Amino acid sequence: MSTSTTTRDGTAAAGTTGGDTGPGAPRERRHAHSRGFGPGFVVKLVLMALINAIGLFGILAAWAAGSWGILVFLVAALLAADLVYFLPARKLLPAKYLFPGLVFLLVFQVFVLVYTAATAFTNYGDGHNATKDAAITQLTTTYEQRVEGSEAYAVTVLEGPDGLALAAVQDDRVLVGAADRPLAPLEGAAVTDGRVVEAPGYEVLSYGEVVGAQDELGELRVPVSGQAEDGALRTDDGRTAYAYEPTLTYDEAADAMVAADGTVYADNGEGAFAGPDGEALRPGWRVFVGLDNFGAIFDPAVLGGPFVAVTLWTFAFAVLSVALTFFLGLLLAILFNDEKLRFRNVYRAIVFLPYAFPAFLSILIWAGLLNTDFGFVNEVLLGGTGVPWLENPWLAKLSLLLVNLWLGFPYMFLVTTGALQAIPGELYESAEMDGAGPVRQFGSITLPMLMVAVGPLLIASFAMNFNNFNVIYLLTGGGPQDLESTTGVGATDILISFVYKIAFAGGTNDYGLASALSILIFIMVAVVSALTFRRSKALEEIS
Amino acid sequence: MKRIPRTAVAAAAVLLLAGCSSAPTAGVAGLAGGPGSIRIQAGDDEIPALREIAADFTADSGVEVEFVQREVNAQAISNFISQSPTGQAPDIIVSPHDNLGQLASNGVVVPVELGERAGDFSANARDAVVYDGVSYGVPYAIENVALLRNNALTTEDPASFDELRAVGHRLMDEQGIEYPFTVSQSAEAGDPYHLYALQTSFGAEVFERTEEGEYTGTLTMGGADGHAFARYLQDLGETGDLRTSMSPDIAKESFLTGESAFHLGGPWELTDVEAAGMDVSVLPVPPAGDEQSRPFVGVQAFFVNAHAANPVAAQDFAANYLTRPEAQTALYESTGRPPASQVAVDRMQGDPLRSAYARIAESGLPMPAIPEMGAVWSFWGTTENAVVDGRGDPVQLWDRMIDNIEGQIS
Repeated sequence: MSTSTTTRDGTAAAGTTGGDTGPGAPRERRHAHSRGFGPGFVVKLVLMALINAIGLFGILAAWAAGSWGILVFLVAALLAADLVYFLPARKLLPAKYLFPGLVFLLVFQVFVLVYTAATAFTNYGDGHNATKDAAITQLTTTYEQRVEGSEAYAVTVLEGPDGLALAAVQDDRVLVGAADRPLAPLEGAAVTDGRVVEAPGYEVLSYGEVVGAQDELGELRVPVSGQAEDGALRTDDGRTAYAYEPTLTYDEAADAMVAADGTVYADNGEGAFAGPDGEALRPGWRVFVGLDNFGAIFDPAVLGGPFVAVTLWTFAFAVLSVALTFFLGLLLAILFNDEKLRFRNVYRAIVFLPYAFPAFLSILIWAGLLNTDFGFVNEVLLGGTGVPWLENPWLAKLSLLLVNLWLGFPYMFLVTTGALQAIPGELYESAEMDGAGPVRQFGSITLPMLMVAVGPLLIASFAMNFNNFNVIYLLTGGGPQDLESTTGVGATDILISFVYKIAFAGGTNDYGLASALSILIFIMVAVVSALTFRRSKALEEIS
Repeated sequence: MKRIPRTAVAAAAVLLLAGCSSAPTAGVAGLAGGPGSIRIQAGDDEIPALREIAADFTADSGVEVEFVQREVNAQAISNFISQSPTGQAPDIIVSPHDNLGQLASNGVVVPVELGERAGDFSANARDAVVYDGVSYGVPYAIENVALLRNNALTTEDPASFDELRAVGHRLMDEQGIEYPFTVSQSAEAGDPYHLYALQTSFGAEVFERTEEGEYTGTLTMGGADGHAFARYLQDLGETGDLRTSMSPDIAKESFLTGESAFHLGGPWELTDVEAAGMDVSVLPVPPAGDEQSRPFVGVQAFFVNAHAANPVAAQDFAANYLTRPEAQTALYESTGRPPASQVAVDRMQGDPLRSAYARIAESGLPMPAIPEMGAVWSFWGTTENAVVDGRGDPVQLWDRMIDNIEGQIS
């Protein structure tokens, strides 16, 4: 490749002929690392070989597991990687820098978003966990019932001319049967310890062979006799069989499950088989439900009420958390920025302390401190009063904000200290000459200059607090629960802890609904961030 | 040399390296050669016993047993449910039986036929692993709440809960201890589990049961029985005998340090009690109402994955090895939980405390495993807290809870 621009003698490529003044020389020297067999190329070759090897391994594994989506993605990504790093075209130079980031963006951001969005339009959750085929198999097996009063058969799995067969010993007779042949006596079989060990015309399968034939064995039903009501033998473990009779069978033509008593459970279009009275069989399967999940969020009868209240509190919590931490941090930063203050580094270190403890630990300790009857705050500081810090809806909100303030102000203190020191002192001097007082100085110089530096951090802090699951979950668990509400929502639940409650807590998993809520959260945070970024851009222009 | 196309070198290197990676298909198909292996997800206290049992199994069958160590909690169950259909979940999982409804209604566990070994297990253990008429798991341990008495403080055996409170208050006066009795509570979520023995003594069972002992989705804890219990809770709260702020740590610590003579707790607290060298007795919870007090019984059981990679071996291990009395005894010895197998209970020697728990378990009621139970817990707990804290009329609060739960279930 790239033969047209390859150097004629190879010395220029190594970049050692510094005095060469030929017209092509500088360009060639610049490209020295990517041509010939210099050390740079060898490193690249080894890295790319590794990437290709890992990629090929992934492709083969995806092929074996039947994950076609992953297969296609890996093939495309690998091809793209080879083209980008081996094609000589100069146009590909930016791509060489962008490619890794792009792949990670696709895998960790775009895929997650698309997958969440796709889930939001399904009924994925408890009772709708897998495919329709899996549901049919599961229903058939589960509703197979052992024939009442039937005995256990110690069976041996045989390989016969027409597939698997089972041999059992009963009343000193050896019985053998297969899927289409009911149990019948077989002469000439050898029995040890009540089990058949040899059967003429059949091959006795070893344990390993039985395990290898598990799919076939799982479907094998050997009729006990000519009568259907005697049931058919099924063995789960390859050692013991019991007579079962089906109480629910799948009718392919009607696409329905039919019970032994004739009840028809038809596909209700919502991912389940339902009987005439509307009772659905479980498990069902995953189906596309369109906008149902979003409908439920905005329907006042389902989640509409709590959703609005929770959204408002989420905004209040995020905005207040950022504002409180920022202003306390700023206040302390200004105080300790005064050069006349002695030991100010000591104070700074002390203020920084809450940030040095792991937040998880601090939150749990705060939860203990605020315990109504046994907590340090009530017992010692307030002399035994029983202030319900975490049990009263309003006090719980206040406690949450205070604990979050305690956790967050050192960070704001740090960043504002840095930003304050970056503001040129001349600005203040000239402001003083113009007769501006401290308040005017703060409003016209400090704050605008500060905002340019910390504005983006405030947006990040807002987004972080908007989804600050840890502090909610560990301090109040979203409680105190609203006794009037039927959704189990609590007074301090923010959207993300609300999503968690819907998706995982309380024994009812509803991934579809939780995904729909997550998408709404994403949109809210994105919109707020975009708006504020525009605003901070305006500030930047001022300065 | 310098004219060799670099593409060719690169391609050769890639092929060489790719060749180094062994064919991944072998790992996925797995069973081509021997009988393969099964994976079991269990907690760290169960695994030592399981290793012993698995050694016999491997010797007999050639199937290797691998372990995934993980504590069982709601998250682990959720993960198992979503992983099972993809074929990535373990073949066998340990879980408390009250998750069974969720597991079964998602179609991720298969029935296990215990056969004649079923007779070894206590009735409660057998009933607990039945869902919708189908028996799913292999139980191994039974846990329930009972009354722990500190014999150093008193040897009285109160016949009713009011008598217990009276004894407790007398001890507070005479010996200067802190509480009449202790019990785990939660200020955020409440703890109906620990109070259920008191509730059933008023006859207010949570769900209706069929004659076979299976729960239906009909709520039965409302009405006069429920109201009587709610009023009793209010009284417990008003007198300060029961506090919602008494977290599990505070409750246990107070009992261990002799600040309380009576403690409502489960066998999982015995390890600490024994470590503290206390002389305690295990007694049934005295009834507060007119009926027998029946605590919830939780059964730890092994369940087989419906999408197991190796279903025959997994069923074989569950039905024929885990059910053996030796296996049940080994699990008791390694976990310290009272066994579910009656045979293993009979073999327990020199462990009067856990034997007493196993005996009391016979009068308990299995925790409902039906999915409707998921809707009950949070309303139940927060309402009990509201009643104990005196945040309204107990009967009204209780009725509203019943309405809310019924609204959720339908």
